[in-house]
Amino acid sequence: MKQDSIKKYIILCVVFILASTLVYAKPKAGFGIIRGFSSEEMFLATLLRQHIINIAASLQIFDSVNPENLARQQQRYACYDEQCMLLFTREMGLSLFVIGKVSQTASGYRVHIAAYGLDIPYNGKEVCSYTATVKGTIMDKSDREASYIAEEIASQFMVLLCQRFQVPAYISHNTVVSDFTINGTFTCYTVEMLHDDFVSLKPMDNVTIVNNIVAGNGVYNDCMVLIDFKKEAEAIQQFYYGRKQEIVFNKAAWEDSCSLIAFTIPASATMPVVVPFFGYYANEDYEGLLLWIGNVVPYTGMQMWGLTHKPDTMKKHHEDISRHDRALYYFGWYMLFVGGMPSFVDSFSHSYLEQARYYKGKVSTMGDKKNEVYLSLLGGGSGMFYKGYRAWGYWYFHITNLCVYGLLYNYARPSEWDSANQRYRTHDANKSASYAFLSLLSVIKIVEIVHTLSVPYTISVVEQEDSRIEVLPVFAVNDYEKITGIACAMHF
Amino acid sequence: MRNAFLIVWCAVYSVIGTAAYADDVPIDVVIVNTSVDTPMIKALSSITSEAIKEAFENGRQLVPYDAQTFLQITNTKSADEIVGKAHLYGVSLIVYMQVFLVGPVYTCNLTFKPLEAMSTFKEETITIHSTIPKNIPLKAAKEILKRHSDFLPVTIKQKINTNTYIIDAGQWHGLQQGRYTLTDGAECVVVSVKRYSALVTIHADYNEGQQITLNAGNKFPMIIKRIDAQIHENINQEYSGKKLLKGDSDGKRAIEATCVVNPLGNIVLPGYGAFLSTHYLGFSHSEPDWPGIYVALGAVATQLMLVPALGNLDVNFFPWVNGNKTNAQYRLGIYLWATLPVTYTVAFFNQLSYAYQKQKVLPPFFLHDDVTAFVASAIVPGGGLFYKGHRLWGHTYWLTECSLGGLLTYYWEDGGKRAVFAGAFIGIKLIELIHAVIASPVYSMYTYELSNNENVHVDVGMAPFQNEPCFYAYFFKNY
Repeated sequence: MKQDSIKKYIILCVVFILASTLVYAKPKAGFGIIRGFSSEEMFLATLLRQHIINIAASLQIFDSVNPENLARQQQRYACYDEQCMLLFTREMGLSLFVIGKVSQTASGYRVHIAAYGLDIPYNGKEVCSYTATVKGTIMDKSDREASYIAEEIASQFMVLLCQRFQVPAYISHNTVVSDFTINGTFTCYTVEMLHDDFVSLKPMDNVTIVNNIVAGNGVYNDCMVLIDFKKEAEAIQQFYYGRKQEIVFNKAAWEDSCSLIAFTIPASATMPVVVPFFGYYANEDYEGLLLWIGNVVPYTGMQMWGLTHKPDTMKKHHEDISRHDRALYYFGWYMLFVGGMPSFVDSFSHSYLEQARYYKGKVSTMGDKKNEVYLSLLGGGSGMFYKGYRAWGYWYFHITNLCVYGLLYNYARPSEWDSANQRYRTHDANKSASYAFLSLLSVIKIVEIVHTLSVPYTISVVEQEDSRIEVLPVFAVNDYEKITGIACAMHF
Repeated sequence: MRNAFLIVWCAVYSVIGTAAYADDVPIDVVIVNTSVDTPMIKALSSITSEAIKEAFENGRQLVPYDAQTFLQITNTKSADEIVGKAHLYGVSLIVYMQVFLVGPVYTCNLTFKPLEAMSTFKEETITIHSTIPKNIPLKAAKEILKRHSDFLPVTIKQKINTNTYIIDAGQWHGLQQGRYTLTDGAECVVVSVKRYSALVTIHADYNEGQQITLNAGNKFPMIIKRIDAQIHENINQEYSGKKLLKGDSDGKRAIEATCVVNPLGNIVLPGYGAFLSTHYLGFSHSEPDWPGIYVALGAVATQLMLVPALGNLDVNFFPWVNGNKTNAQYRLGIYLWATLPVTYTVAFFNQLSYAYQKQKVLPPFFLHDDVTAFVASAIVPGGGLFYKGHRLWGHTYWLTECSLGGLLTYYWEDGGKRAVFAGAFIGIKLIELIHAVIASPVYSMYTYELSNNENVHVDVGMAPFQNEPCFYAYFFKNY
């Protein structure tokens, strides 16, 4: 008798849950346990899960099951794996579940979080998988800093989830049955049963939906549209990026910008000494030091040569003064006043951004739009260095220096000593080439300014494993074939 | 209210879950942890078991389960019944894993027991050793990944019609809708994918249960590379020279010692000063490499006395005084004195390399050992080889390059010889730079940890062979 009543209760529950899913309410989501083995891993995992739940709740696009109960049941049945959770959550009538793992490495942590969809169009497939590494340890951080780090990782996962996740909404008699208010143009699909429970979504027409009503003359029934959450993803990304800036950067001040402008010439002039010793070496930025040696030292050499071989001194010895002699002299002055600034910015912003990345207190001078504009106007990659993009910074640094030298070379007027008349004969400048270099320099400058202002600061606490370029040789000999080659893959 | 459903559904799950499992989700591998449960070993073995599981997941060919979950879902009470149940549930492979401690060495035995004919996993037992517990899971994972096939073997689960089949591989195995080729060249169109199965069309006749092999790309090289990097990171953390300096930066100390301490030490005590300078990096109670000191002393003496000897001791000792010197002797004198700091640095690198080997400590910047070796070789002749512990190679490059530099200076006015010596110098420098990058470090604790992991090996030395000393030099690369 008792068993019968339980069965009835279960059947009622099934009916209720199925009914609730049939009207396409908000997707029912279960944010499962993120596992960790050591106490440190568990600490980060717990924080991560809590923040994921919080962000999901604030988004109001999921109907989340009680996280404590879910965790308790997971622990009770030792159900942590994807395979187990797929069955467990399917029986629960969830549309989405999230599980993850935190593992400690020698240099920090590796976080892996995955989301699985149980309804159409996923039917148990993985929606997205997020893997990231975090350097350092959170145990030496205060609770607030540890929480910030976990929240940032959680927000990045939620961005990915919102970018990838889609929810079906059925159209019945030109009306979309959904808890969401839908507006926009969508592709209408019909579900084609291929075999057993293998289904395929067959695209029909593009439909315009206004407030859940299909606009136009066509009659749409028993088809569905897929709702995505890309706007929410964008909103989370913007919110957490702005929030991190507020947390880690000091409030922008005019005094800072004025100091930066006033400091430009002294900084550029002292760069060859200050940058390697007080910048890179003092901050133990050896990568920066090596890059500086490889990229900047040759220009510093040109600067020294130019300034020590003055055309006036050569005149005293009645030596011919070539275009190169004059260009090197002018270039020396350029490097002294402006050209050294990019390296100066790189050496210091790199350590400031490192502090900001791991929430090590507030950083001054960074995060100011005025400084961005000024440094990108100054050029030579200063703006990109300021925002933490070394590769782009050096690209603009080289291309600007080459154009400046080209401009100075063509602007310079070579002089030859005419021993017969005991005077110098001076040739004309290459005006057309000068203008060409000047135009090129202007174009580069505009591109650099736009580029600098459009990219975010490199202050993310995680290094995503999935965004990289891999070049690997391929050698394989097996029963089937022999392969030799090179594989190049860009993950983004 | 929803919480109530959750609890009820957990109950439902516990009843019906077992039935649903076998149909929906394949069970290919069961990992059985047979380690003795001391607290330390228990923790390490469960992490290793998890790492093995993750390796199978990364391999994307065999769906893994740990024994506990397997027993639970198959409603099995005793671990002795695993094999029987495994046969029943179509498990392909059982992996027995045992972690134990022998002295200071952590050991992991992995026994593979295939329950059906497999092209990848054979019946075998492999033993993994490490002095660093964190490396045991990584090395076990690597062994699992290495045994995966480059292709995706799948089985025809169901034949729907002449060309349409359901195969036992889906999104979990890396498949997605699209076209693939089989290893026999036939085309396989994946029409619809589920997590663990797919509906495919192949223009060939197959029977249910037949195995086919798909040309589906794998990421093993990348994952193995990542595991290697983690092992390397762990070794670097465990044997870092930082522990000698009580938290001070070993990198900064190394640069300061090379640029300031060692040159001053060598001016006071040529050769031996290089050994004394190693103390700045925290080495104490160490002994010098005496042959290295003698070589350095010999080199310094040669650099100081070569020009006077060439001039029959009738020329001025100091290089900046021309005296009776020929132009060639004058240039050579300047060169030899100018390269004295290089000799001091080489002597210092040699002593450091010896001390690192003896005291089982890794040099600074070892996380990026190839880059550091390249930079060291670019600045100091043989520097990268000393850095990686190849002291004989380091001395060879240094002596060769310095001699060629001396000859180049001496014969500067002879255009033909100048070109020959300059060409030889540049050629050897390039060879040295490449050698510095590809050479594997020879520090014993490092080679022990990566003993199964060596890809490139260059070595040269003297060793007894059938009662006779034998000079050997070899280079090999494992793919």
